[in-house]
Amino acid sequence: MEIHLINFYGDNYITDLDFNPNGDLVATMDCYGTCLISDINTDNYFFHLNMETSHEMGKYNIEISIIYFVLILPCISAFVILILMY
Amino acid sequence: MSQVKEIKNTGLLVSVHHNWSVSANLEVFDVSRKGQARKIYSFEEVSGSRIIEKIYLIIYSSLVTGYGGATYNPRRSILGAIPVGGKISYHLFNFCTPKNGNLVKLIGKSRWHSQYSTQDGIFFFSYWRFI
Repeated sequence: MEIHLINFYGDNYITDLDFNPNGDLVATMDCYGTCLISDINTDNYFFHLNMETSHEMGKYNIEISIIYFVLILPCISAFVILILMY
Repeated sequence: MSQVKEIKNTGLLVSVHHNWSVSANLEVFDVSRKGQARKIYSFEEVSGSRIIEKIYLIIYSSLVTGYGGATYNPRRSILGAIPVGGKISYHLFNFCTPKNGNLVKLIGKSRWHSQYSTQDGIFFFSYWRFI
């Protein structure tokens, strides 16, 4: 049996984009909630607004994460080891 | 994740496929003839992740294409699609009239602006592999 510990660094990425009707501006939204408006022709930055989401899926519930990684996952792991031993 | 977008008044359909951390691709189909779909353009695949692997400890640093998104402006006949995280905000394609021959053309790549969020999401998980 191999046990792998994976450490994941999730980089930023664009979740959606849209042009204005004239086709000279583009609004892009990144996964952390930054909306950025730039010029299509020159690629120059115009404006950005940080929506302050703490996670790419929105507000990250750290409590669920702690419960899973600290309490549930070790129990599952211990259970699997016990089954394998017997 | 795949997305299909109609290019109005051209009889064209754009299919954008994103495999979050692996790759993204864009294809354009001519559906103007009834019952026929003809592929007229295929964008080269944008590769996504790079993986540095060590024994029993994997550090996974991704260069993601994300879930994508595509938008079309009929006034200028331009399509924006296929972002690459940290590198390219979007690829810009131009749709020409059929008499020009080359219907779809990549006309630019928008740079990644420094104003985008720089925070990194880090999480851990383990998996078991039984031999």
